[in-house]
Amino acid sequence: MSLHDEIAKATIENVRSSLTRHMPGSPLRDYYLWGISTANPYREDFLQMIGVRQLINLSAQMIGEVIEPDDRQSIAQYCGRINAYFLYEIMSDNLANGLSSLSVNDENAAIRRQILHTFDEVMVSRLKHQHNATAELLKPIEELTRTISCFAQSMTPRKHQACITAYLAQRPDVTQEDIEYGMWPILVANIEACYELAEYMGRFQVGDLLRQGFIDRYQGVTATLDVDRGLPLNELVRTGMHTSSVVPVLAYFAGVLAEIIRSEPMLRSIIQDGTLADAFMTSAVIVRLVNDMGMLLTLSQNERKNVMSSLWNHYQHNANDVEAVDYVLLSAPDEYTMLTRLQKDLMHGEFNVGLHNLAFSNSIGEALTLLDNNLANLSEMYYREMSHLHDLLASIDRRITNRTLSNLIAGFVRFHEMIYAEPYNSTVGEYVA
Amino acid sequence: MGYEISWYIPGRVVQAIFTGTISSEEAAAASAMTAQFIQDGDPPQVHLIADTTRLERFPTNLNLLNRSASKHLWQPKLGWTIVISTNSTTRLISGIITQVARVRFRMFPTFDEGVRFLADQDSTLRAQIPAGDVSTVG
Repeated sequence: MSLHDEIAKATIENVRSSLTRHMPGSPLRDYYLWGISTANPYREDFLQMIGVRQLINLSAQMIGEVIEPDDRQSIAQYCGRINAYFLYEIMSDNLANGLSSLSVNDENAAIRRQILHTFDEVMVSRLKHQHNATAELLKPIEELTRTISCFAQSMTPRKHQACITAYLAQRPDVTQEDIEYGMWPILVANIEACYELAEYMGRFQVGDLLRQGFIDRYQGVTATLDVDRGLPLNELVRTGMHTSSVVPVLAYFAGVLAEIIRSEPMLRSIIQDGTLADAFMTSAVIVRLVNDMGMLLTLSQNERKNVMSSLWNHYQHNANDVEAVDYVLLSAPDEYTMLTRLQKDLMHGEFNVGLHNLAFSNSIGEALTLLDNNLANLSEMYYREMSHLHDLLASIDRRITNRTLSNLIAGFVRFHEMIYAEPYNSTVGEYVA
Repeated sequence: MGYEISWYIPGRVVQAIFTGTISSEEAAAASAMTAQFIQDGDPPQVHLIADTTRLERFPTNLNLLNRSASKHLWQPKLGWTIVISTNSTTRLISGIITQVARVRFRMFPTFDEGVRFLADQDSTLRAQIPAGDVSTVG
């Protein structure tokens, strides 16, 4: 069996196990168990829609080049374990859709904020061993979650609808509302799966990096929700860098590869002097930048000028019809899909470091000028961070016995650059599409 | 109520007529009702004609529309979405929302042209179009 197929098998097994252990009994749990089973005629769509296919692809690409063939089966199980946690992450993360600075507050924006604040607090306190009562502590928001459609919050509501229609045909005792508005069990499972991962890895040298990485991630989400004014770009990047879970994921796989599967004698020294953490944080910044800006970051000054010039022309040509800068960006011709990451975050109301401050501009013209400046600055930051990462990885290579860790980190960043260059609503371009 | 949803061709083509001012809540409700019509319609496809020629004011926030008033666009049976309008803002918004949802969309200035297009795309409709609605079909 290929590594990809081993990981796919292990992921489905771990998802099934996690659903049974971590998620409270509920119509949603039954739906997910059905969704990943062969009883679902839309199983492949379901796996794509909930992000499992992309998680499998990411694991296979990250790990494939750095492991020995004999280690495939063992590694696949570790991939499956973290992929099961991410299944829940994708859903809970979607709650933040529509809460960016450029979004108009819809009728349940305040409710979603409250849910996320509570969820993040309970998660952080669980990770800090301050309680063992996740379901009880999330109880106060259970009724609130029944007002939120997890389909509307997702990026693929159409695929959700196709799957659920097939499921309801087999389960006439269940209603669509039971599932569409039943995301509370996901939140419970998310916390418990994350805690289990952190506990498991706590025995290893990377354990602290991983646990702190998770804590920073959820505190980062709360911080991005609470930003209600313009901020300097580097502060926005610092706020946003943790929310992409890069640090805990890299810590996890570093632990798997350099402590569990093989033992790297010099690992302690690069952890203790902060080199490994620095490499993880730098990767987190790069992935955040690429997530938000895509290939706009790699344009030369002239190319950037051409893109902005096209946007200005498009705006002037449609000035009577456009009410806000998101119209300009969403309707602009985009032959080379340069704008795709901006368009994704505008359409789904997600936090974006390059767009956040545009919400506080006084006109569309001012917003476009600001975007131009942001592009230039973020592009510079991107190249600076890439150069720093290159130096860190070279330093790691000099100090440890093989290139496993540097290849892991470089491969992770490369994978994200590749998928974020694709249209966000293509199968390749996003974790869920 | 600034909207009316009904069958133009029972089971096959939904008609949504909008007049006056539509609030975000009404847009969401109209979308949900349209979604129900589509679900209840005949496979394989149910088309939608949305007449906005008498619409004066409507929500224009794209993010809000995408999240709250697009339930009809999620329906697997949805075929063509035809918008009847001469308003260029309507064209811009409809084009963006339907492109994100990856549904087939066209806009026409008159109902006659919209129906003729649908009949061209789906020949099973031709015999069912009410007499006199289209000057020449097929």
